[in-house]
Amino acid sequence: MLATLAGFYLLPLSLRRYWLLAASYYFYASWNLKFLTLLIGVTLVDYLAGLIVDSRQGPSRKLALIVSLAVNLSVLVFFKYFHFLTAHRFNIEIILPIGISFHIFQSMSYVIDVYRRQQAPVRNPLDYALFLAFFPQLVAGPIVRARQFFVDLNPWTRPSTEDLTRGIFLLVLGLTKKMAFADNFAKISDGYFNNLAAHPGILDAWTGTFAFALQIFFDFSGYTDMAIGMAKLLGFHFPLNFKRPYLSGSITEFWRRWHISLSSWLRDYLYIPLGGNRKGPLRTYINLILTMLLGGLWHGASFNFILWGAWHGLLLAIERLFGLDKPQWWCAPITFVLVLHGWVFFRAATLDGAFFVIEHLWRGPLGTLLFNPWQWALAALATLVALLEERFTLEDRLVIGSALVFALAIAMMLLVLEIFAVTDVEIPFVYFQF
Amino acid sequence: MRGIFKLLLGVAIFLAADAAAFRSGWYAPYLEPNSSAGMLQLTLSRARKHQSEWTEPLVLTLGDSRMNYSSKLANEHAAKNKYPFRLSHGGVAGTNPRVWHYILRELDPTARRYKAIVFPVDSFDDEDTFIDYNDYPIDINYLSLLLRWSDIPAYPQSYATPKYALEAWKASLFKGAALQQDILALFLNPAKRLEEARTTRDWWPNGSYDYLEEERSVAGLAIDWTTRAVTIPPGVDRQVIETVLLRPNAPQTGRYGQYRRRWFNELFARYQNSPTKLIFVMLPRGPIVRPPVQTVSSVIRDFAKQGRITLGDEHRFESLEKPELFRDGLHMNRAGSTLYGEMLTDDLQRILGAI
Repeated sequence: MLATLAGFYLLPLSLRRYWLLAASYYFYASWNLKFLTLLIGVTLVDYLAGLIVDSRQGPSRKLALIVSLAVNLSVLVFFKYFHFLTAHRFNIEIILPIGISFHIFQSMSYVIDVYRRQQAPVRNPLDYALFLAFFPQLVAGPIVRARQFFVDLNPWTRPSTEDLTRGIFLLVLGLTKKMAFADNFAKISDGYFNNLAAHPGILDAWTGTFAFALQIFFDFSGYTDMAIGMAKLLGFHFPLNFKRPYLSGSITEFWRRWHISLSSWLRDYLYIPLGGNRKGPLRTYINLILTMLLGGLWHGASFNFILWGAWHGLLLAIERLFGLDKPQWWCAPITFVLVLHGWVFFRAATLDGAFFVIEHLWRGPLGTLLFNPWQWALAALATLVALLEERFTLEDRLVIGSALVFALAIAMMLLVLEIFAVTDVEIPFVYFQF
Repeated sequence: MRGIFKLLLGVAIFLAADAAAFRSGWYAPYLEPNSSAGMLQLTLSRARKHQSEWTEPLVLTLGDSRMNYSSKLANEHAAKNKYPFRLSHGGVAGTNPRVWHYILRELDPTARRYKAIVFPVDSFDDEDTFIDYNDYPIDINYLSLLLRWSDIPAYPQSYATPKYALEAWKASLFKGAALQQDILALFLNPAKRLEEARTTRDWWPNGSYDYLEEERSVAGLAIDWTTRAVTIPPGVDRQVIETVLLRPNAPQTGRYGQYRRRWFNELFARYQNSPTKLIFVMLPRGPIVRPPVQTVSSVIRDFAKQGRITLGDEHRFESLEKPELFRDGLHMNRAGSTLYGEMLTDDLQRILGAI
């Protein structure tokens, strides 16, 4: 990372984007060289599709869009859903290319935007290649729209002091979230979900699921913080992906705060094309459920993800039906409990396992709390920071505030990292599997 | 540049906070007393107490858990015979020359505080075992509080395995990270830890000094080396005996000799112009002595030939190497440790008188 940064700023301006592309391809190839060709293939198809869609009129324009979408979806379906759709009848091993769901969605959105005349086609294929392969967000997002990316690339301008400061802050924050928070909660949730039979109690179920809720938030938002931070150091501005989602007063608000780049993608390229809320209440509910169901399926080929998506779709529809979608602060705990129930399907290895946990959230022996005192303290600290951020926009104040206050915040994070970072086991990012 | 400045300021504050908590000695009293680092700190505090309270010339003994010579009885024996020194024990179970170097740096920064320093070893030759002490990560735990910024890069570079070298870097740079498990255990039940640490701290200086070994023995233990058949007396752990006494011989590659040469050299360098005598003595090797192994080096004999150290009588304690004087395959029991303490003080008097 440091070498990439150093190289980027040492090279002449005209070469910097190619340096970034080389670094991104090197990064991807170091995981799996063969899949780099797949990434380049998708890049070429959508680059050409963008040019054709822009230059042609009539049916050939639409055909180019359809071919592009078909290629993208075929790649996605083959790698992610082949075994699921064929009920595991074929004995072939399919390795999931890392980050495929993210860059396929990103590439599809570009071609659709060009088709809608909302995006000018990219003329330089290497620029387009960089858009898809840009290493900070290649494997787990955020899903960046072409207009957000190219406005920073053409022309590229040196990051401001505030951008650099915020980039550094986000890198340290993301690292702390991942290693000190997410990984500690992962140990608890893994201990619970990997051995459900040993934890039949109600308290086990609540704390095990609570641990996963914290793990996935800190894990994913930590990654995106680092991605956004790194991008800022390179002069790019990525959209916010998380905005304290567990403080949401409704499920509708939750999806405006959780994985924002995915939920807005689903809204713009699925929910609205399906008719959104323009075709009457019943179609609105169906569209909501269908969108969330497909959003669930985007995560992976399993009934657990489908049920997770369906659960959220159903809750969104119910909120819309009863006019509960306006967030109320006092509804935050209820919303969180509903989200927790959804996480059970997301995390459990099997459907049976998920129903076991759901049952034990409400029925069974009392059991034991799976958190030790300092793990509770970490959860409490996180809640306090989230509340302060919500009320006082701490991050902004720290970034633009005095050097000493900023430095104290960095020092605090480093101390938390030093004391709490999990280093004895390697816990991969949750969203790397998608 | 302003962003970088803010980051560096943050890192500086972090390092200062880390140093204030862990390099200043503030945290040391709260270490888990039974941990490697905790045990080492207790031993240092006892030795420092001896430095400040005892008026007689001090002889510091180092060593691992086998160096159990009943300190109080040994010193009573020395006093009775009017030997002009007192033994202060600075050895810690599980330690070796690398750790001894850092213990001595703490206890004897001027290299002049002790009349003599005693290094007990089980052989003057360098027998390789299946443990590679060059790359022994447990040392990092013992030294987590003692390492300084100035130990970079020498200390981390003493490990060959990158993973251990990285741990050593971490222990030298970031104390909080090196003590992470200890701190998290403290957070689990702070009141209990503080009470345990206080109780142990109060007991340790005199309690450990007065401590007498267990009386049990492995009398009846016998090994037929031709058939490797073992006779284990009732109540004795077979596995321990077999692991210690019947362990296979490792290939003799000279690794242990390299290790000893490196760390003893480092250690002796501090005493080059010091009046302190460096004395190597033998430990009773066990309840039954393993057949000798043909080693490829003898670093300690080489040092003695160069006049840098003094060797005790190699065969002086062979009479103690019998099952009746050991409580397991490695450690002497009360009778054995008492006898060893007396014989050791006699031997030291002879050596120090002769030097």
